[in-house]
Amino acid sequence: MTTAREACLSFDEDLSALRDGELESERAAEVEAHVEGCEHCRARLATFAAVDANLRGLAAPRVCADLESRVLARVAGERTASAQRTAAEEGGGEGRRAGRESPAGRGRAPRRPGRSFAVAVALATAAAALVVYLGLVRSPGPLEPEDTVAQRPVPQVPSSAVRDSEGLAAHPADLDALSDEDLSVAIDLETLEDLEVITNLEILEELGASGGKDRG
Amino acid sequence: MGEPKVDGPALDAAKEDVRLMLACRAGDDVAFGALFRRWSSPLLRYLERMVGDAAAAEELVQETFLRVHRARERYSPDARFSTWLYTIANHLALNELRRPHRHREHRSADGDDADREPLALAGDSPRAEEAIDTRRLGSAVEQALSQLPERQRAALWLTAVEGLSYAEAASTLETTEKSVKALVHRARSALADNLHSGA
Repeated sequence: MTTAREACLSFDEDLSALRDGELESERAAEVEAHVEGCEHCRARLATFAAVDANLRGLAAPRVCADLESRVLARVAGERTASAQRTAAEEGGGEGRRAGRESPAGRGRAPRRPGRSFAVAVALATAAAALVVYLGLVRSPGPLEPEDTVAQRPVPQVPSSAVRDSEGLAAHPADLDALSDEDLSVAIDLETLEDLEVITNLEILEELGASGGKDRG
Repeated sequence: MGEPKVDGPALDAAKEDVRLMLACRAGDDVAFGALFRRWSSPLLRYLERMVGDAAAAEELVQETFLRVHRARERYSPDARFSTWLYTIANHLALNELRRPHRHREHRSADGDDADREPLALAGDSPRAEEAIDTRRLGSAVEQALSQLPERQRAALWLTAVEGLSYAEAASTLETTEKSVKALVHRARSALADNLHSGA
C-alpha cells in the first residue's frame, strides 16, 4: 500500500516540470489533482515559486559602459586582420600563377609584364653573339680534364649572360668559379629559378659551336 | 514538454533577434551592436552566476560576442538567437571553470550531474565562505545558487530566469530534456531547502 509520503515522492520531480509548463497535458492533470489534495506538495510548489522569484530578483550586474566599444573594436581589429590575410593570400595566388607561367615568378609578387621575355631575348642575342665570337674569332683555350668538367654545376649558364664590371662578357672558365647565387646576382635575376629561363640557350650555344667548328 | 516557451512579446523579441542576427550575418555591424545591447546584460548576469567572478564574466561576455561575430556566416535562424548565444557562453564558462590555475569558487560537476545526490548548500560546506564573493553576493539564494553543481546551476538559471524551454536548455547544455528536467528539479529543490532552513 502506497503511503501519502511515497505518493508525494512520485510526484516530486514533476512539480518542477509542472511549474515550468513542461508536462504533457495528461500528466499535468494528474499532478495538479494530487497537489490540490496534498498540503505538502502545495507548500513545495509555493517554495519553488519563491525560489524562482528570488532568482529573478537578484540584482542584474551593470554592464561596463565601454564594454560595447571594446567588443566592437576587437571585431573591427579581427576584420582588418582578416582583410589583410585575404589580400596577402590573393597576392600570393597571383604570384603563384605568375610562377607557373615563368619559373622565376614562384613565391614572389608578379613581375612586370614582358620582363621575362625581354630578358630571354637579350640573353638569346648575347648567346648568339658569343657563339659567333667563339666559333669564328677566338681560338679555344686549353681543355680541362673530363672529370673537372663533369663536376661543374648544372645547369650551366651561358657566359654571355654574365658580364664583368666593365660590361664585358666573362670568360666561360671564370663562370665555373661562381656559385649559382653569384650567377644569379650577376645577371640581375631575382632567384636561381631564373636560371631555368636561360638553360635552354645552351642548346643554341652548342649548336652554334658545332657549326663554327664545321666552318673552321 | 519540448516546445519553446515563446509567445507574445517574447516571440516578437525573438523575431527581432533573428532579424538583427541575419543583418549581422550580411555584414551589418549596427545590427551586431544592437544585439550586444539587447543581450549583454542578461548574458553578464548568467556568466557571473556561472563563474562567480565579475571580471572574468565580463571577459566572457566579450569573448561570447566575438565568437558570435566570427560565426555569423554560419548562423541559421532555426532556433532562438538566445539559445545559440547561451550555448556559446556556456562552453566558454565551462572552459573558464576548468582552467587548472583557476580558484574553484564553484562545485565541479564533470559529466552529467543530474543523477547525483543533492549537494549540501551554503552553511554545510566548510568552503562556503571562501568560495563566495560576499562583496557581490547578497542573498542566501544567491549563495546557495553558487554552491550548486555548475550544470544544475546553469539548467535552473536558463529555464527559471532566462525562460528557455527544457528543449532549449538541453540544446544549450548538450544533454537531453530528461536530464534537464532532473537538473532543474534538483537545483530548485536544493534552493527550496535552503530557503526553508534559512527561514
